[in-house]
Amino acid sequence: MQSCKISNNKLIALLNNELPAEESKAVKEHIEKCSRCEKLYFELEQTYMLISEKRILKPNPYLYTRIEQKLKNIEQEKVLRPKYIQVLQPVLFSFVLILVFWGSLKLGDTYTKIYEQDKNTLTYSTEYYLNDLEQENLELILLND
Amino acid sequence: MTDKELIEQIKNKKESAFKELIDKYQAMVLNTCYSFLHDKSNAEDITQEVFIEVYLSINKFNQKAKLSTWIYRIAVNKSLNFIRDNKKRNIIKSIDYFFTEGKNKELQIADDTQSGLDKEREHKKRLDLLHQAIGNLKRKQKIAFTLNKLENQSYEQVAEIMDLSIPAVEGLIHRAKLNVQKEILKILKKKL
Repeated sequence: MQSCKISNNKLIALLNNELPAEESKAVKEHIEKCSRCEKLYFELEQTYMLISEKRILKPNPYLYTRIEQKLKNIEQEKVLRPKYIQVLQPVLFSFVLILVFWGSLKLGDTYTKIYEQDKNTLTYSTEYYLNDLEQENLELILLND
Repeated sequence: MTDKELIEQIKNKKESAFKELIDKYQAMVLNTCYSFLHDKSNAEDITQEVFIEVYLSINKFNQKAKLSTWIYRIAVNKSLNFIRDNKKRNIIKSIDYFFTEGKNKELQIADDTQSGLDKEREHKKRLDLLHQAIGNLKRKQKIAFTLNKLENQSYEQVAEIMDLSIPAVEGLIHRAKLNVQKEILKILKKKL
C-alpha cells in the first residue's frame, strides 16, 4: 500500500484524471483504506471543483461614460499642469535644496575662518583657585592672634 | 468594424470607435480582472483603468499582435499590480482588525459551530481557500493558471498572452496545480 505522503502528492492529478491507470488504482486503493486521506481527498475535490464554477459578470452600463469622464480629467490635468511644469518643478526643488545645503556649508566655513583668525589675537584672563590667591590666610591670622 | 479599423480610428481620436472597442471587449476585460481579483467592484475599477491605458497607449500598440491579446496583457498586469498594492493596505487593515474586530469575530465563529454551518457559508469558505491557494502562487504560475483554469483560455492563447512557448506554459500550469494542491492540503490538514 502507498504511503499517505505519496498519495497526497497525487490527489490533484487523480482529480484531473492525469494519472496512469496503475498509479490511479494504487492511489484509489489507499484512499479507500485510509480514512484521513479519504477526508482530505473529499475536501480537496469539493474545493478544487469550484474552479469550473465560473461566475460571469455583466459589464456596468455606465462604463463608457465613466471612462470618458476620467479621460477628460486626465486631459484637463495636462492643460493645467503641462509636461514642462511636471519636469521643471522637481528640478527647481532639487536646485533649491542643493542651494540651501551649499549655503549652510559656506556659512559654517566663514565662521570657522573668523574663529581661526581671532584665536591668534585673543587675550585670555588668568583664573586662580581661592587657595592660590596671594592674600593673607584668615585662619593663619586668627591663629596668630 | 475590424480590430484594425478600430485601432486606426481610435488613433485619429474618433470617440465612436473607442466606444465600439469598449462594447466589444468590456465583458472579457471585466471577467479577466474578476478572475484575478475575486471582487466585483475592484474588477470594475480596474476595467476602467485598462481601457484608459488602451486609449492612451494605442499608438504604442504593435499591429503584429492581436488586439485582444494586447488588452488581455494590460488587464492581467493591471490586476496583478492592484493585488500587489492592495497587500500593503491589507497589512494595515489586518493590524487594525487584530486590535478591534478580532475578538468579535472569534465569538461569531464559535456561534457558527454551535448552530452548524449552512451550505452557502461552507461554499464561501471553500472558495476563499481556493482563492488563497491561487493567490499564493508565483506571478507567472498565477497568470497561466488563472487564464487557463478560470478564463478557459487554451494553452496556445495563454502562451500568446504571456509571450512564452507552449511547453513553458504547460510547465507553469503543472507546477501551479501541484502548488495549489499543496496549499489546500496544508490548510485542510490543520483542520482535520
